[in-house]
Amino acid sequence: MSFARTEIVASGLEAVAAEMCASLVRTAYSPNIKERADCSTALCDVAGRTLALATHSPAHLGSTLGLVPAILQRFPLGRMRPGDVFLANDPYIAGVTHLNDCTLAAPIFVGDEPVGFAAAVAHHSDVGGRVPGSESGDSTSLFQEGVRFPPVQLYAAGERRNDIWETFLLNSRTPHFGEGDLLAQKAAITRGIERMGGMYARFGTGAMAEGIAEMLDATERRTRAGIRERLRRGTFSAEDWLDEDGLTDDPVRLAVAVTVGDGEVEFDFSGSAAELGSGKNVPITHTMATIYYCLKAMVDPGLSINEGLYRPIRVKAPEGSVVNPRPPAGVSSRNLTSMILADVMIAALGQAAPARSMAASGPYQGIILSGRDPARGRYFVDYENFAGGQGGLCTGDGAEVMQVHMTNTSNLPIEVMEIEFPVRVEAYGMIPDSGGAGRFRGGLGVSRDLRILADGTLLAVRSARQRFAARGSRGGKPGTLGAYVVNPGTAAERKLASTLSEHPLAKGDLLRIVTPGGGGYGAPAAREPEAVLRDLREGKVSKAAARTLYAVALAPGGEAVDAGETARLRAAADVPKE
Amino acid sequence: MRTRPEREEMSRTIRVGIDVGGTFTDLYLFEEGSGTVVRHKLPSTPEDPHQAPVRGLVELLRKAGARPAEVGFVGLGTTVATNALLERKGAPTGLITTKGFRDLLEIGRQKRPSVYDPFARRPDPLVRRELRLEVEERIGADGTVIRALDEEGVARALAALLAASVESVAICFLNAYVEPDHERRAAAIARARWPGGHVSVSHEILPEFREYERLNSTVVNAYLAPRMQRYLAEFADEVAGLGIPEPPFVMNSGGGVVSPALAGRRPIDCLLSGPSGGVSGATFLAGMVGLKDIVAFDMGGTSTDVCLVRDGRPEVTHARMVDGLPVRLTALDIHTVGAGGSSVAWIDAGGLLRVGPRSVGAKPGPACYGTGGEEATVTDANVVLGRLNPKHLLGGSLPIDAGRAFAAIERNIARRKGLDVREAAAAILAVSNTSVAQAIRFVSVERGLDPAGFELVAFGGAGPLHAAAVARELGMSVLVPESPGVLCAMGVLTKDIQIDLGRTRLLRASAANAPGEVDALFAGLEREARSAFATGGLAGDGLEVGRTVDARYAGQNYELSAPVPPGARGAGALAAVKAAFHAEHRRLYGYDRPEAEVELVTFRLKATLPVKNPDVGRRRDRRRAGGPAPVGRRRVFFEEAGGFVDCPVYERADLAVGDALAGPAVVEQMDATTVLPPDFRAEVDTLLNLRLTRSGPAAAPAVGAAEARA
Repeated sequence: MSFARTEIVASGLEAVAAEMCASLVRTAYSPNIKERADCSTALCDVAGRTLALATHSPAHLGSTLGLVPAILQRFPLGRMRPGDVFLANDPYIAGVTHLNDCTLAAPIFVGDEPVGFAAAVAHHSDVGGRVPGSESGDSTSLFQEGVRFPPVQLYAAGERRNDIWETFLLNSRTPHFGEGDLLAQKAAITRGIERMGGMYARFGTGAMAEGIAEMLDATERRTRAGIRERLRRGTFSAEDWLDEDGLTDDPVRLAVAVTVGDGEVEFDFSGSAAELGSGKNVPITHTMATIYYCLKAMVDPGLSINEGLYRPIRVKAPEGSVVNPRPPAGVSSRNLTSMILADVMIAALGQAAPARSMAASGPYQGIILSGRDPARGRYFVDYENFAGGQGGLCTGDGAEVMQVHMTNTSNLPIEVMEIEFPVRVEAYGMIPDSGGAGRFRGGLGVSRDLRILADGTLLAVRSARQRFAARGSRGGKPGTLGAYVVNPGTAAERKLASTLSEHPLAKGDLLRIVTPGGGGYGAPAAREPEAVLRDLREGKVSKAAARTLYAVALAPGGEAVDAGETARLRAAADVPKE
Repeated sequence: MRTRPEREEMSRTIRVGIDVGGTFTDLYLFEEGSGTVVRHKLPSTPEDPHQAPVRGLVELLRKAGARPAEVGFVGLGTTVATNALLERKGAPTGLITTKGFRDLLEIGRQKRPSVYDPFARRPDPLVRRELRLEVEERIGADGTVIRALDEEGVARALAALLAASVESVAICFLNAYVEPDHERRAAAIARARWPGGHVSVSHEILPEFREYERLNSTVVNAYLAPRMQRYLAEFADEVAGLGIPEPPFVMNSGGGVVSPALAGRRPIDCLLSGPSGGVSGATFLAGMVGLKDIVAFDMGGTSTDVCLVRDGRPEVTHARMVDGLPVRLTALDIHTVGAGGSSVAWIDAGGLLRVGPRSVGAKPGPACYGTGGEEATVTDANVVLGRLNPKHLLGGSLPIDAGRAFAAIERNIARRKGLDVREAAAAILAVSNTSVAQAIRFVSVERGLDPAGFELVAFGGAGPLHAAAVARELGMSVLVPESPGVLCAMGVLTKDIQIDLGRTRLLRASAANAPGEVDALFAGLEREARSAFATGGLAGDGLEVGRTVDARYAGQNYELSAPVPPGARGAGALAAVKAAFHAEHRRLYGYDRPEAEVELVTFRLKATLPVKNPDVGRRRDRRRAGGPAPVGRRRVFFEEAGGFVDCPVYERADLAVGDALAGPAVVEQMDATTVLPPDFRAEVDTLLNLRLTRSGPAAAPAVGAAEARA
């Protein structure tokens, strides 16, 4: 066999997972998968090791951590047949990260021998439960978040089990999406099975096993090498707060102690809050996904996603805590919690990796509008997440209005939205001074005004950083907060709670969504005066902020920096020289 | 007004295709009467881009012994627009847009460029925030006026932009694709107050929905227009100055040529004109020998371009990212892989061998060029393994230092992998060929196709060198054109004069007014196409019209193209579109929903004025007694044969129609080398293409296989 056997096996497995993912995204029916690519596809061996995983969404990085054992516990390998397909969505059994992530998996056979599994995980738009879309920060248990499936047999030796199929669809508010998405998932794993079969036929079982083992070792070595190269050894702690737990005003502490050893890292979440009574808990596989994301981001973005990446990581996440809840604690709204968790981990890792450190970011603010559309005579659900500002980086400004960390979904085109839903967008603009001041400024947040065009529209919101701003780093200032406001600037103005479901809006109401800015990096008065001038010219920073925060004075006319006066202001501000 | 080129005077029988690349400019001349072909190559002049093609024309005509007056057609493929965008050397541009939305250009789709790298930068928008001005106006999604246009505000915004010294202005309002009245009036104000200025308007550039993509496309057009117009005007003047009677044509991204006037107004249509020439040439050549399903495989120094051609038609896309910016345009669906001759081989921190995407380019170049390159590249691996001539390339003009290739691979790869240098070189090729094959399979899968039924048409400097290995992975056979290095220039000659137009109108196929609306929309597009041809000085008679509808199931957010049969109207056209849409959905996605509502989204019209293609089939064959004689022999490493094999080396120019070669063998020509592995055989077809097919499993005994480890 080739002198590059391991490389060819590794790139072959990654190519198969990527083909499966491309097939899933293209053939799926719901916007969640087609437009937002909220899905993942993976190949595992029969021991449950992840061999390759393809996804556009970091939340899926640990999608298959517990899947194979959960299946094998119920369906022993010896009795499995080609054409069997299993369905599961329970986070506490199958290890997915919330009930919406419905997973299909099927054994891959070489002759009579099962050698692995092909899996496709997809966020279904609705799996029943208390609220449309099934996700809600104020749900009080998993039972409010949809139907639970342990691994069940959806196809038996190629034959579809219509009883299961019908049960699944009956529990969804959007069965037309559910059916198309399941078919797309089935097509994706069928492709994975064929292509893996082809690889085994070409290389032989023995060579494949050796190639796979070498590949996992190589990923492990690369991960450990990255840790040794990028991270200082020692223990580094950080904490931050989730605004509230979804049911009360109590803030939720998220804390980590990261211990960097020789080519390995331990994440200790013992300082984090206890399990919440709401849907904002982060199930352990999602906590793991957040760790994998942070490690890739801080150490080596090119790391392959397989078992080898998982090996150098140790985790202390006490059972019954917000980062490792027990059933039946709710988890549907876990993603925003994990966004803050990512900020915390990056703050801790940043102390170990000064060359890649960054300030905290403004996470997205999510809304779901639903109701009856009078013009089209049908029920509608408009689900959108609006990005905040990226935290300032140690190398430059944070990006304005950009998705960060655990999510990278796009906004829906306004012209599509206005056709599909009874709403009109009246403004969508960056908010001056919303990015935390710093030598490298935090990215700006955005303000979006939505005019409601149908009576009886119901609003659900999810958010973070409406109370605890994105912190600056190394002297940088925090970003501004997010907010939801109805009818701003009128007598009827009201500020909404940061977690909310089934809130009625009337025709003519204006909903303003304000997203948080990113934190600044480094002392503001150390910012290049020319950069401040450019921000002023672009209207991203106000004149007042330029003078008071950045200690920059303008020459008469405002078109240039007054260097002498700026030097005097900065001397008075006692700017640390970097 | 001119008549169609086909009816040109009989004396103007010379046709010239020009392909201006980053490094070289290639020219291809075809004389219709005798079938004579003359090729020419000279260095490009990026600092003054029209210089190389003009000088090349002069030299080419001299080489062919032809007079400028005999030239009936000049076609130009150019990367001027692309480079201006990549290097951000367009015109200072201003934007006038709907109040409340000036930041749309910067926010875009709010996604980050690299999921796992927070340090990856999103490209800056082409218009700075202070040059993005808003005016009061608003059109609703149904086309009704929500807020009237503030015409005074438009005038004020224009004055402010001109005061800020912009050279080009883009106008884009929300929902203008459904009701362009406000944009029309704003554009009229701008054009009246700024005579001779460049004004790009969204409903003219791209009357399709999805505001950010339309906005960005309009801005890109505005950004490129002044430079492109200047360049093309200078080129056309110089061509006329040479005494060539016909104005030149410019290749667009969609596989056709357009007049310089139109290309100057709509440079966005030419943004990807460079690589589309090669695909056209490959499609044309393959078609001449009866091959309709091909993969165009253009492997160069830094990257490989791959394009699927189905039933003689290259796959087309309407959405592309160019340097991180989304651009909506009709373009051949070319997929680029970061693997080429100058791609660097390296060992990652886990000990795995990787090839690319980083490339050493032409400078410092592969180590074997001896021009300062120290890193191991794919070209170095080919030299070490005897696949490339170990003494010189490019007809002797590029000396090769095999020792440096050997040393670079030894130092950077072999030692660290514990392999012998030849094994390391073989591993480099295996990794590179695998990634190219995977890319081809990926683009096929995405379109619901199996590459095994396709022919790999290999060109570019490195295509023929790697084609057999890639084809073996995918179960394909290979066609290597007679002149793989100048296929792009030849491709320019095979293009029809073409305009692609599109318009979004959301329409349920079951609606009572749908048949009438469809007819009216296409009639409007056809009028627009005729008027565009007229602007370019071309009569509309003989115009061929192709119509397609982008459709989807109601509720979906992705569309598929369904053709309208020629001549079909009203309900008949609708029924055909629906049937074609269901079938395409089934083919691509594995299922369809015949009972579901079909929504028609974007109506597209392709208007072409056919150009007479070069009749390369009439060319005279070389005459020679007996089979081809090798010009030499050398030892070439084949992994599948287990080591080095003594191979005959043939000169491509010595091969004649009907010649058959058994692998292992090497065929050399000025700017390309074709490698025939032991398990392949080759035949020379009637057009002097080399046709490689797999003859069976690799079984040839290696000569001195043990030496591989020596």
